[in-house]
Amino acid sequence: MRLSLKILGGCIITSFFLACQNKAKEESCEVINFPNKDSELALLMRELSEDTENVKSQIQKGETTVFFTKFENLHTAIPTDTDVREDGKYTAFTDVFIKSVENLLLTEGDKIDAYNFMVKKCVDCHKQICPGPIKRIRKLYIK
Amino acid sequence: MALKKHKKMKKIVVLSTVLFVMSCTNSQKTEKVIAQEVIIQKFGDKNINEEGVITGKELMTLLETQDSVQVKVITTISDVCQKKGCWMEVDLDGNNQMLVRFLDYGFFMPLDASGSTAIIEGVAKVDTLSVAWLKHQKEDANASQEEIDAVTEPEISYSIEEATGVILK
Repeated sequence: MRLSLKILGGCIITSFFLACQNKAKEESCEVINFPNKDSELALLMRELSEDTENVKSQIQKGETTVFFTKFENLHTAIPTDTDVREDGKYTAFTDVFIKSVENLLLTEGDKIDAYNFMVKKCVDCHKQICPGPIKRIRKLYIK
Repeated sequence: MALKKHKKMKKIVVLSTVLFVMSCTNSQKTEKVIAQEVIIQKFGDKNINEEGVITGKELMTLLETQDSVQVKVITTISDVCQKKGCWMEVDLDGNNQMLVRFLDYGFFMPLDASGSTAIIEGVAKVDTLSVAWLKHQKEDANASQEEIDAVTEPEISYSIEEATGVILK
């Protein structure tokens, strides 16, 4: 009698456990947007893009402009295409871009022109080197 | 008294067996759910579903009478960008391919996704490249006169430039 009750109890607990496990599995379904191994430079660019979105918002609200990206890493981060720095174009574009960021940070008052100039430098570089994200970058302009 | 006790125990054993079988059935269902999770992946819009999905052939028919159309199309992936997975080509009808890129560079495909079934949501469009334009392109690419003369048919290209979501099977 006691053994039967134990079996009964065990079955009920097992049923509940499996039912709960089933529900947990259904809810654990995730959206994976970047399934491949990203290069250091790709991750840095993604971070820079988010940073620039914030700066755009800061300028539109008249707030202080703050970047968190370590721009010097643009020269050292390992790219997806390992030969991207070989012809010197990337390095030249990066230098111009970093100067445009410095110019933006030094600009007093209305920063929109300096900001849009900086975004244009991103587009100029991507036109030559990696055109994929240009549409996304163009959305960063303040119109 | 002993007979009553025996009958009661019999009932308990039968009930336990029923519950145990139910547990097993539940377990089988769980395995199916897990199996589905391994196979199906979503990218971009997490709310994308299979409702109203059309085939590649049906999409081509729609694009015979309009330049662009908002669709959810089911196709097979024939090629994926092998650097980042930032674009893919999908088969529409066995003869025609469609180029797919992703909204805001916001999600990529697995590099080994070729051959998988994909449900893609976005605005599909068709462009026709005229014979004159194709010849001009060949000239610019320093193609031989033979190659330039070989262009006699306009080229139709299909694309989804900013897919908002993908379900991969």
